[in-house]
Amino acid sequence: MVMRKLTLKVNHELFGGLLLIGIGAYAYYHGQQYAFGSLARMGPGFLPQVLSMMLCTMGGILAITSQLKPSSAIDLQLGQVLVVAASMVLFAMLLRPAGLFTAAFVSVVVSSWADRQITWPGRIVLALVVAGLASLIFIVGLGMNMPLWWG
Amino acid sequence: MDVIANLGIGLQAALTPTMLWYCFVGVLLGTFIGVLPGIGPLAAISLLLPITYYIGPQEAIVMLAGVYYGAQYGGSTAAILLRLPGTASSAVACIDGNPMARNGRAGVALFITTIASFAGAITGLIILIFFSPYIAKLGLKFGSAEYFALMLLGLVAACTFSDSPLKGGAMVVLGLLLSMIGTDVNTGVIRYTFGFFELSSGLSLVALAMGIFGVADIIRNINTIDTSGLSQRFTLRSMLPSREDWRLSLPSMARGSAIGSFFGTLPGTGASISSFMAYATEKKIAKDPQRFGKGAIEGVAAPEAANNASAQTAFVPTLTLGIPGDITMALILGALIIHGITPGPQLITSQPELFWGLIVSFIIGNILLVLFNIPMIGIWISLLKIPYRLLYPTILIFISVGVFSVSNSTFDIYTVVGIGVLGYLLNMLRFDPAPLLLGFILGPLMEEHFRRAMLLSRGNLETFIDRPISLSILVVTAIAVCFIIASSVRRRLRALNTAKESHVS
Repeated sequence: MVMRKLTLKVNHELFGGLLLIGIGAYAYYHGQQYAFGSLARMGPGFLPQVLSMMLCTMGGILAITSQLKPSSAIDLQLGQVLVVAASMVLFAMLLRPAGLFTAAFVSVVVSSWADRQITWPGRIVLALVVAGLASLIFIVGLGMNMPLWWG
Repeated sequence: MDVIANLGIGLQAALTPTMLWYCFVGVLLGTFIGVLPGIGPLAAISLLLPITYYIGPQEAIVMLAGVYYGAQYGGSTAAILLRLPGTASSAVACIDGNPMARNGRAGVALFITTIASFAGAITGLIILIFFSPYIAKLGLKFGSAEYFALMLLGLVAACTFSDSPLKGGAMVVLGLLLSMIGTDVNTGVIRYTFGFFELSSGLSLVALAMGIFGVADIIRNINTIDTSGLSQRFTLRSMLPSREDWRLSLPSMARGSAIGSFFGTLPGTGASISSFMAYATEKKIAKDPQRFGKGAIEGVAAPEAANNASAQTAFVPTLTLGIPGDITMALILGALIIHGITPGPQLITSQPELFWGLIVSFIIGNILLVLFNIPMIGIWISLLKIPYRLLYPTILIFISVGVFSVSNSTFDIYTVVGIGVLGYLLNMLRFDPAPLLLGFILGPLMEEHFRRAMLLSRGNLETFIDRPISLSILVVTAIAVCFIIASSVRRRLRALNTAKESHVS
């Protein structure tokens, strides 16, 4: 399977700085609903707002000083991000209704997709082994409170 | 003789079969996970953190400490043999350890690593035994202003971890902001939960740690870790260093232990800084600095001794003041708080069995580590041959189950996914996410102390300068900030100059 790879030819410092400004601005905007208070009697919104402003300032400095440096490409392995995230989300969705064994099996089948070398038989064997091992360790061994199987 | 009496208390507490068992399990699991390619000590601790909820607090911390130094040791094995550093501190072990392995001296490198780790750890423990009571006594005089100042110093020191102090600082602030999620202790107002009631008790520490050090690293490592280059066979004989090796490495171990012990006790600076400093020192005082980077044995011995010494002395601020010495300590501190133990100056006097028992079990753990590693090195090395494509799906399942088990909620698994993607993005943008975790753990403590200090002084910021201990800590912090700014400006100017010169030519 061909993995989708996103290569961004951007200045990573500029991008990082803008990301920080974005997070900081959102946190500031969202934090305004909490009372600010005064230094002597700080409200719940005091530190969040101060910290958001600090984050924006730092992001700003980073973005501005980044112009002194040449830009470089960053490789975002978008396919790997999606596959790993999907496998864990599937695990979380399946755990309650379908049990640990099923959830682990499906999750491993999906997550192994990210590797370039694995074959279909290898993938099934790996998923069976991991699902069995996880069931043995967590349910039989540690006695954790979760269903093993469908139903 | 206070020390002997104290150690007596510790021996009684530590030499019970349960404690010995958890110490053993911790060291074994730590080495096992640490040696697996692509997993460092932080991932190892965060993976095992949920399991410790099922056991008592003292057993839990003994086990986690065992995991910590076991994983650190295992990590340097992977670093030396495969050039795969799990953490910044074992990145230093690669520089000369990996060339030694390629010259056919892998056995010697691993043997010296073991001995240096042990020497460093014991030095650190001696410091811990003699100094903690004094620091704790000093800590009794601390008010909220002092605690806040000290944590500020720790966070500023943590910024020096990163290549760019500005980016490190930004990560600290982001960590502090993330710690604001949940119910505000003082007013009961629920902040930043975005409508999820699961977030009202705050973002889960385990989820954050596993997202950043587990999932984010896995996404990055898939298809890049190659373990096929490993084909050496090990015999005990090939591990024994020559007389010349001993002559070169023993003084390095002593210097490394001293450097590590010093940096470990400072809040915020831990294993990574110590091993970099130890390596730089060795290179500076060596007669022939050219040998470094090509397999100089001092380059392995000194940093290994330093990072293990600092791993032990980092417990001084963690246990006596409740301020973590580095990120790993921050995780252990988080675990202690979850178990209902708040480390602080009272810990030594109010729970002497806990404190001294821990110290004795650290000694036992380090002895176990040597016993495991020299005869069993062959087994650990065969673990290194496991291909990553089999490993990472398994780790993902362990992360999911581990994080689920903390509060039996699948919500935390979604949190891990979100944090993991964010961590990967930050990693790609060359942010070091480690200070983020430190900020996250110190956040609630800092907020509480800052607000209390302000409440007591009626909003007068001068309280931080009026109190002598707080003032001196703040002066040290200010010096550190100036130093950071000066050195980064100098570096930037130099980079600019060289860029100009290359333009001209």
